[in-house]
Formats: sequence, structure tokens, C-alpha cells
Amino acid sequence: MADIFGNVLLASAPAGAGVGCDWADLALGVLFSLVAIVVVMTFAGLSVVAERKVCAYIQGRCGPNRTAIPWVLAVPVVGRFLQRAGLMQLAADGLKFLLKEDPLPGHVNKFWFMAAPVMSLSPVLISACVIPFGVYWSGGAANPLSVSNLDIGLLFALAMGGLGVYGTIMAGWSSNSKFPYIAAMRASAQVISYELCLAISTLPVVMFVAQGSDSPLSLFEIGRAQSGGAWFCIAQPLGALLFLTALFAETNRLPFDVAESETDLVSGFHTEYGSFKFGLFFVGEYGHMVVGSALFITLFLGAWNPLPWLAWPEEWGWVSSVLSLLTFLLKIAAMLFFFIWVRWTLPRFRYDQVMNLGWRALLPLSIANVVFYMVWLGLGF
Amino acid sequence: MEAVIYYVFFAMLLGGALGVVLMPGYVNAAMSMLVSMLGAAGMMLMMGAYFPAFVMVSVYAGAVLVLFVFVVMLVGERGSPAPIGRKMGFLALWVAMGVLVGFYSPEIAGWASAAGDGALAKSAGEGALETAKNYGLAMVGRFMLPFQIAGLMLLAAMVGVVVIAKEPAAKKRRRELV
Repeated sequence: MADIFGNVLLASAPAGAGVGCDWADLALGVLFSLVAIVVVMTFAGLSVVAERKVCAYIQGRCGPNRTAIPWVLAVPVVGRFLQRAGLMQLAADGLKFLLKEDPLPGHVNKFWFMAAPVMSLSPVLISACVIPFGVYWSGGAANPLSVSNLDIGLLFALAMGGLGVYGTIMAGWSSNSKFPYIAAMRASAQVISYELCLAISTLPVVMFVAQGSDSPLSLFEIGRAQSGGAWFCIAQPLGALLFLTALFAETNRLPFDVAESETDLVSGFHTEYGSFKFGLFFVGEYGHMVVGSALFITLFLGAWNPLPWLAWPEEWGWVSSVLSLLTFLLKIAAMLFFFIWVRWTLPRFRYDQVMNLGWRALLPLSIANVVFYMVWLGLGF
Repeated sequence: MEAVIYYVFFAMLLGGALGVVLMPGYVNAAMSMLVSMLGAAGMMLMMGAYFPAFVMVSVYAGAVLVLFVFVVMLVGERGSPAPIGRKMGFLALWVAMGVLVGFYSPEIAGWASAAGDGALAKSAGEGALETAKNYGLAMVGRFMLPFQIAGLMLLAAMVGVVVIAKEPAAKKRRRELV
């Protein structure tokens, strides 16, 4: 039997090599996973605040700027700044979700009603373990700063992303009322339509990486293929656009949030939810955005490299590693801002428009994109 | 540790499969199928076949089963569910078939358990199932014929389903007359 920890959990083990499974390895793996989860959760929490602030600025308001913890406010300059920036609103929101009464309506299917929020959050956290947040060099070889350098990381991330929809579907079904039910139907139809495009639009990237690497499905190799060269969003602009559009649909963000559209479905699949269960859906949505942005950055926006045709030099050692990590995190923050910006700028698509766009525009375009780059590479450009 | 994980996946695989047959309600059955598929993917992981494991999760658990759930929710729960006795009968029939095969030709059961020990992976060359590239090469090279035959069997199953599910033309005509 293959050694599952050596290959799946540990960053230091190259894919395929068997490493002895002892408790130190296991503890290290758990620690790395916790760090990855903390990163995703922190970004998710901060993007909740950012969402409120950015939407306020877009609409010409100030946003949350009153919430404060008294003894933090007493700190001279910093306290006032934190209050104005609305950063303490995050703690207030979290506490509110925790401390409110947790309603369990009498007409729901209790098991799935309680399982659904977990089902929507956990795949996101699992897929965070293959994201290469940066690069470090040891013994002349480049290694990723990720929990696991899976040989098929891209496939893993897509597979886990696809599982996230069950939370939405089961929430809608188990709520046993009309609006969530309609939302669940919409969500499942939307995922079926857009997942195809999402997966197919990554194929040209894999074909490009396969020119110079033996494991083109590894997210680390995809990132490495872009260091010191053109990013894939320059080499394949259409593919990047298709992936980004499908990503918006996958994360259920406006203009594709027909599963939650509060104008016609009250609050969509989480109409019957409140308190901490709703909080889990909330964090799940933002976590999905964080992991989705990280995927998009790795695939098309040059991963941890600062600029196209520019890479952090290997000679700088650990300084370069830190810089690469910071670059990646900065890019995630920029992508999250983009998500929020789009949400408060574009109106929601009608449901038939979502289906039309998915099947009549994105799918044919993504297949044409693959064929084009197949011919391109086949002719030897 | 590995043994614990193995039994967890094993329980998911078998418990999910039992749930598909025994759970009341279509949606519960579909979700049991999801558990079973994830268990199967976990088993493949334990055998070092990463690529098929995640293809299983991505294609079957992430897309095909969403389609199932979609159709089940669209159609709703029609007709009375099959009685539990009949379900148990089917289950007993399956187990009896397995026991019969195991009893009369133990070499088949032996082959299956040997495959679980990684013999299949070894027969395909060292590490053939571990990286995606090797997997692809094995798929279109050495295992081309079995692969195509499996596809043909699936096609036959699909035609069979259409034949079973379609209302016979004579019956339909009679109903329209009435």
C-alpha cells in the first residue's frame, strides 16, 4: 500500500517518493495544513470587511466606522485608525454569528440542514492545501511553499471546488421551502454548465507547461513555467477571460449569484439559516473566492512572480522566498478587490442569460481556445 | 495509521453503497452514492493511483452526481418507494452471487485482493499510476484495449437503460387510445 502521508500531506516529499509515516511527519503535516487554513480564513475574514468598505466607497458612503473595542480605541493613533477602517467590525460580526440564537425550523430535514454548511466550507479548506503560496530553494532545487506539492494539484483543486456545490444544493433541498429549493436547482444547473468551461479553459495552460515539464498538472510547475517569461494571461488572454468568468459563476458571485438573488428568492439557499450556520456559508463563499483567486493567479497571473519577464532571483535566498510569498498574498488581495468591484458594478444576470452565456458562448469558445493552441503547438510556434 | 484510514475509506465505500439501496428517499440515496464515490477515490489514493482518484472525484462526484441530484430534485419523489423486503432481497442476491463466485472460482477473489496490494500497479511498470503522464501513456498504450472495451460496456449499459426506461410503443398506443 502506498504511503499516503509521504505523498499527500508533506511539502518536503517529492510526489511519488515514499516517506516513512511517523508521528513527527504527521504532526508537521497537520501544522502546515493549519497554517494554510489560517491564511485562507484570515483572507476570508478581511474580505468581508473589505466588501463592506469597498461597496460603501463605490456607493459614496463611509461604510462601517463606528465599531470599536474601548481599550483598543484608547491606543493613540492606531486605535482611531482601526475604528475608521472598520477592522474591528470583523470581530463584532463574528461574535454576532456566534452568540445569536441558532434557529432550527421545524419543517427541515435536520441532518442535511446541519451538514450543509460544513459541506460548503470544508472542500474549500481542503483545496487550499495544494496552492503554492511561494517558492524556496534548498540544495539547488526550487520547492513550493505549499502543504502538498501534488503531481496533479490542478485536478485536485478543481475536484474539490466542484464538491463545494453540494453544500448549496443540500441546504436548498433540506430547508423544505420554496425559495431555497429553487435556488438549489439553479445552483446545480449553473455548476454543471460552468464547470466544463472552467476545466477546459485550463487545458491550454497545461499544454504549454507540458513543453518543459514532466508533471504539467502540478500547480507549482505551472507557476514555475511563468517565472522569467510571459504570464499565461498574456500568452492566452481568451483562456484567462473564460476561466475568470467561469470562476465568478463557480463562486456564486455577482453577476452570477442567481442561487442567492435576494431580489426574487429572498436570500436563496440560505433563507432558512441563521446564526453560526449562516456564518459558515458566508465564510465558505469568501473562502471559495480566496482559493479561486489563488488558482487564477497560479494559472494565469504569474503565481509568485512580481512582473511578467521578471522573477525573484534565486541568489537572494530566503529574502526572495519571503518576497515571493508577499507577492502572492498581494495578488490575492488584488483579486479579492476585483471580485468586490465587479459585484458592486455589474447587475445580476437573469437566469436564462446565465444559461445562454454558459452553453452558447463560454463552452464553444473554450473548446475553440483549446483547438487553437493545439494547432499552435502542433505547428511548433 | 494507514490501516485506520483504510478502514475509514472502506466503511465509506461499503456504507455508502448500502445507503444507496437502503436509504429512504432519492436524495438520500444520491448523497450515499457521493459518500461511496469518495470512499472509492480514497481507496484509489491508498493504492497510489492519484490521477484516477481525483478524476473520479472531479467527474463523477463533482459533475455526474450533481446532474443526478438535479434530475431527482426536478422530477421529485414519484410513486411509492420499493418495499424494504424487496431491497433486502436484492442485496441478499448480490451477496449470494459474490459468495458463489468466491466459492467456485477463488482465483478471481484472489486476483482482486492481489490487485489491492499494488500488484496491478506493479504489473503496469513501476510507478505507472503515480504521475499523470505515466497514467496517460499507460492508458493509450498498454491498456488501450481494456479501456475501449470498458467504454463499449458502458455504451451497452446506456442502451440497456434507455430500453428499460422507455415506455413500450404498444403500451403507449393503448394508453393514448384510452
